[in-house]
Amino acid sequence: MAAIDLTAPRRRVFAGPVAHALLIGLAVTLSVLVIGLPVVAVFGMALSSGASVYMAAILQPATLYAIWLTVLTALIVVPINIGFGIAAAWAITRFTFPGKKLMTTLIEIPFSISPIVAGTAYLFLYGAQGLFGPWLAASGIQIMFTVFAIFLVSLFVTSPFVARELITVMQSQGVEDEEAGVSLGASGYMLFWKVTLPNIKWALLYGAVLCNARVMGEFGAVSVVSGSIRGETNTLPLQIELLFQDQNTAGAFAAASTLTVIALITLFIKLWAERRRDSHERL
Amino acid sequence: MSAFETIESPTVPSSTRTEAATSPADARHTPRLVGNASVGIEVRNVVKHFDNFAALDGVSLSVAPGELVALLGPSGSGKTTLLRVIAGLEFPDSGDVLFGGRDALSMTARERRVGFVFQQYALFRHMTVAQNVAFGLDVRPRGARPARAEITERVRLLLERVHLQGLEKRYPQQLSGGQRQRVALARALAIDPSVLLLDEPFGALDAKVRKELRRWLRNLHDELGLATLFVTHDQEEALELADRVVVLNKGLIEQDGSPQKVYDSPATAFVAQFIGDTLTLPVQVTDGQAEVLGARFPAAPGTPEGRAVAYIRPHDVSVQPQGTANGVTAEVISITLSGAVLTLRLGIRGLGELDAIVSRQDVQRFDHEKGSIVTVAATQAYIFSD
Repeated sequence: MAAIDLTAPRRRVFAGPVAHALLIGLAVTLSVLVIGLPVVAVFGMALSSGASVYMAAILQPATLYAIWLTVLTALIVVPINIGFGIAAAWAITRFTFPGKKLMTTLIEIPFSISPIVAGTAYLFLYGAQGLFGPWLAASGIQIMFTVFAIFLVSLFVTSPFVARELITVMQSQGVEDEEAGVSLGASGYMLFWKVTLPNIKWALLYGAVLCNARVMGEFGAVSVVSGSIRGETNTLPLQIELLFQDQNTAGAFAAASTLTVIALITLFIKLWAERRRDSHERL
Repeated sequence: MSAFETIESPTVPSSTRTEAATSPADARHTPRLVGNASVGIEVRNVVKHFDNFAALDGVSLSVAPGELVALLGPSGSGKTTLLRVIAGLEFPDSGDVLFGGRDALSMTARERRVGFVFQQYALFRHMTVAQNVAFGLDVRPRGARPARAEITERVRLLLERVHLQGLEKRYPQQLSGGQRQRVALARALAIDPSVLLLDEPFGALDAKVRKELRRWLRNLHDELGLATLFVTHDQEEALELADRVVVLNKGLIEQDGSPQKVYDSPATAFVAQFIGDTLTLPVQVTDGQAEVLGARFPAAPGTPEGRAVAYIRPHDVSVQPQGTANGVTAEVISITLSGAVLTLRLGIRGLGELDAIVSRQDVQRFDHEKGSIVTVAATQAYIFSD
């Protein structure tokens, strides 16, 4: 019988001390340079002229309005996409119907399409020269270059986040809990609130947080359809760009820092939701 | 600690409970957990296809009130599908399901009031044990929902019945497999079910807990008096626990009878092979009989003359000293000791090898070492066409 030497160092790929140090060093250096430094730079630049200048830049009416519009967009888009996500995930994981595979693919399209393309597509549909343009104009409805255009493209771009999270979780959980609920006499309404929702709540929160982050940070699609009208259709990312073009560096960085703070808060909620979701799934 | 509870709790108090149930004076104090007049289940000619695959190909069976019936079959035989059809979780393509003579197919799963215990229990993991058990009562429409205090009391009684008192506030993740199974059972009983269906009730448990729970479930069933149907792929479990065993294979019922009947006179080659370990030998049928290891046995009715197969259980192979009895000569190839019995692997010239399981006393009088020559005979054999 061949003896196995248990004391011999176990060789893995790239397990040498040099490779070890090199890989870790590379990862740390790149993280600091590529990710850490820009984040620090945003706050550094924003506060470089002192806190009072920073506050004044944020409290500038156009920037304040941009913050408000960004929050408003999130408040409208995220709930709608939560509703859509639950409905789509429910349909896909709990029923069989013709075209189900197609629908699963369709849901993912906004992920793979460049936001600029999404914006252009909406322009083509609802713009003055667009498909429904003449009809909309005749009815006295303007969609493009209003906040509604912003809501619409944001809906499109962020529609997959909640749905995709829920599809994964609901698929892995299976239907047994719901079947148990039905056999115990629960109505559809009771089943959703007492069985389904508690089972998916952390995945739902996780998806909603990702969706929210994307809504607030979306630039490409929004810039095509909003028209960037100061104080009317300018969201925070558009406002930052505008301030840069105006050579207002302090203002731009101040606005950018608010977006970064939102992003950092999002990140922490995401991490927390992720941990709860994963511990919930383990049984 | 938890393993200790699992093994101890179902058995020790169950004996006292049985006494209580037999004494009329005490019976008054045992609150009734199942108030419904129990009804029987009747399944008639149920067919269920999944795409082109016939999961159930015309199945009929009945379970009388108070009867415990095992649905036995290999995986993919359609037994779980049948259980789900009865519960209303699956709808048959054709056929009838009746509860106490009433058409169950026109009722939704909710209306059927079926106590269903899922294979993996399907406990709600975000709810405590007490909340799980109370679920079926909590979700009733306002008018039909018992008062809070009544629900609490009922949950307490149910948990007492399944010997889980004190674990009300635990979550399913904090329980052992056996405890989870009993929570699932208590939850199913909470809705005052008209029938009880169990899908592989012991499938997810280890062997020791399984045996304990079997006896306990049998007692509980006897007390409840419900029509109970349980699915299993374990023939030993079916034979030990059930009043009647229904053997299912490829969506068809192969045999429906008492455990004894199914074991002693298998109706088909499949049953002969599926129940107990079985050896097969090629034989020739003449005049409705065939010679198997030196003795003649009747072939199953309808077996054509000529080539056929004999199914023999290792327990039905007798081993004698060479030349002392009718039979065929064999050489002992190997011996395995397992407790009170020995498994002898025997080589027979022209036939191949077969196993015999014999008690140690039966063979201690003569030489049965490896390499010794003995005479073997079949005491029972089942002959079916090839």
